[in-house]
Amino acid sequence: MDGPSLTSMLATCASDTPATAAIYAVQQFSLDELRQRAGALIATLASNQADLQQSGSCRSDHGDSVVDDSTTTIRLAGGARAVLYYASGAVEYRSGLAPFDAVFARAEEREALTRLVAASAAKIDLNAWLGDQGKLAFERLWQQKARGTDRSGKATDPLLTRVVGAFRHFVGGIPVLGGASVALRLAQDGAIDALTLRLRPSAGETIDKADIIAPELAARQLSQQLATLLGFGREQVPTDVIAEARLLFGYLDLGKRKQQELLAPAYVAQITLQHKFERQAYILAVPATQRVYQQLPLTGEQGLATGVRRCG
Amino acid sequence: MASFGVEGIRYFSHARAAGVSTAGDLTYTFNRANGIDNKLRGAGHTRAFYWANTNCWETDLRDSDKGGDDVHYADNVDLFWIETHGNHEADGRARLLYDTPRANWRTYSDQWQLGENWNAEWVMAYSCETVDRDHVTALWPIFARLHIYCGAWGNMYDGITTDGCGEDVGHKLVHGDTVSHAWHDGVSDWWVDNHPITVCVGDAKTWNNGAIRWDLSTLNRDHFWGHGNTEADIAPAQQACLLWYWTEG
Repeated sequence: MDGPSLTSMLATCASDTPATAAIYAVQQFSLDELRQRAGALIATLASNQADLQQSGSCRSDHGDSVVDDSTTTIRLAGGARAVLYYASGAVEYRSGLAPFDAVFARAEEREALTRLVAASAAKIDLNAWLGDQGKLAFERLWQQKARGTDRSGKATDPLLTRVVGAFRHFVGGIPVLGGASVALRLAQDGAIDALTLRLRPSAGETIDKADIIAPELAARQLSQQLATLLGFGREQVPTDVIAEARLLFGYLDLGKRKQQELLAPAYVAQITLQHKFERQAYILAVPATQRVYQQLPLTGEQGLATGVRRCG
Repeated sequence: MASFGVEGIRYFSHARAAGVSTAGDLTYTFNRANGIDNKLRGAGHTRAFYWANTNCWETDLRDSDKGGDDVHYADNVDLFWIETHGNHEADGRARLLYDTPRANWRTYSDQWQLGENWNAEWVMAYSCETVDRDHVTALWPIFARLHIYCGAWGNMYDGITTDGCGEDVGHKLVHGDTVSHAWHDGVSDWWVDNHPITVCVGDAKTWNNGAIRWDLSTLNRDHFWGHGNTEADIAPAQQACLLWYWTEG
């Protein structure tokens, strides 16, 4: 197969793309407001986690803060901490549990674990974080496991240590793509071990209503990006190296360290490649509108390398 | 405080031109490499070296006893971060691709021996598939007092949602997470299918005749120097087990 096949592979993944989509303003918060929101989250966790409450690991009244240019890290009792990212308002909470504290007594069925994360998430009121027209939906369950072996090669059964529920933020029915909007990591009995909120709440102000470019056009642009990365220039990518390719449509969260004033639609491709010797995986993105509302960081940084080439 | 070294390869044009690999260029290699570099230096740790692209050589990781120069590079720092393309052999040996043949285009993990008389505690490889979960023991020989190998048992994505992984790992290392948690948490955005795995060795007390004392394991107890407890080295003669911890979706 050749390039057009990749284009068509991608395009068929996004066949239900809307013809138009709103461009929303993202709520912006002052630093004080961000700190208040983080404090409220910690209080919510404390009130919903009896175990943590007893151990005091969610208490913030004695927390101290480490402030740098882009984050405040609040150190809490029991080795717990919360991190606030100024650029995005993202918040991470981490309990003081070590990786093998409070592990699951046994492997559980996926459905049971999904119910566990859904039930734990439901106890945390995140409505204030979702913004205008915002909704949250469960997306994916992750599991963390461990095993070992001795010199004889005898391996132990896998030990389930943590589960992570990933949830997706939708605004006006369109997903906000990027890292999980909410990631909830649970230990034994559903105790909250970690919570990450990466939500870009809409301010309710519609900046514009834009026509969405056809998936075929986006797929061609993304195929061209891939061809450039693979050194094919304007030639088409030989698709026999493509293991998997999918195209998603949605708003795009640029990451917790980046400020963002708008929610603007984008097409995002996830492509995995199987070369003869190497494997690789890309996330590629293009704006989904003719007019560019939001610049995407598509070029990457150059190295801070020490630079001078060494002699042989 | 700790010392660390960084190597990142973004461009693979020489490897492609030489017919060594068809692997593509990456985009966010240096977002990640700069990110961990900034975080660790910002916390007062010392960067021993930072090589990029064709300045990264396979001899930097190959053991000095096997003709390499790890005594001056990977095995001369507490933490070695590398990003390039990776995979593993059928027998489980990890391999990494370089963009210059100094002396070879690829390195293989049976040529690594880390921590022996030198310094290495942790190796972090942001590369696909360097651990084969069906043959993890192929990595055992690299643990010559090395504490933890942080790698991947599947793909690791290059994209705009994983550009902050280096900074995330670094932030967690210097704010008290265990090294194992810092790797898993730092390289996971819980959206794309990254596949982090951490591998360590344990002594007989930890193996406990197969009823593993995970609480004693390096995976559970090891922190970056200066940010919590760091376990003692486990010499090859003391090693009774290999332990690994992975994230799956």
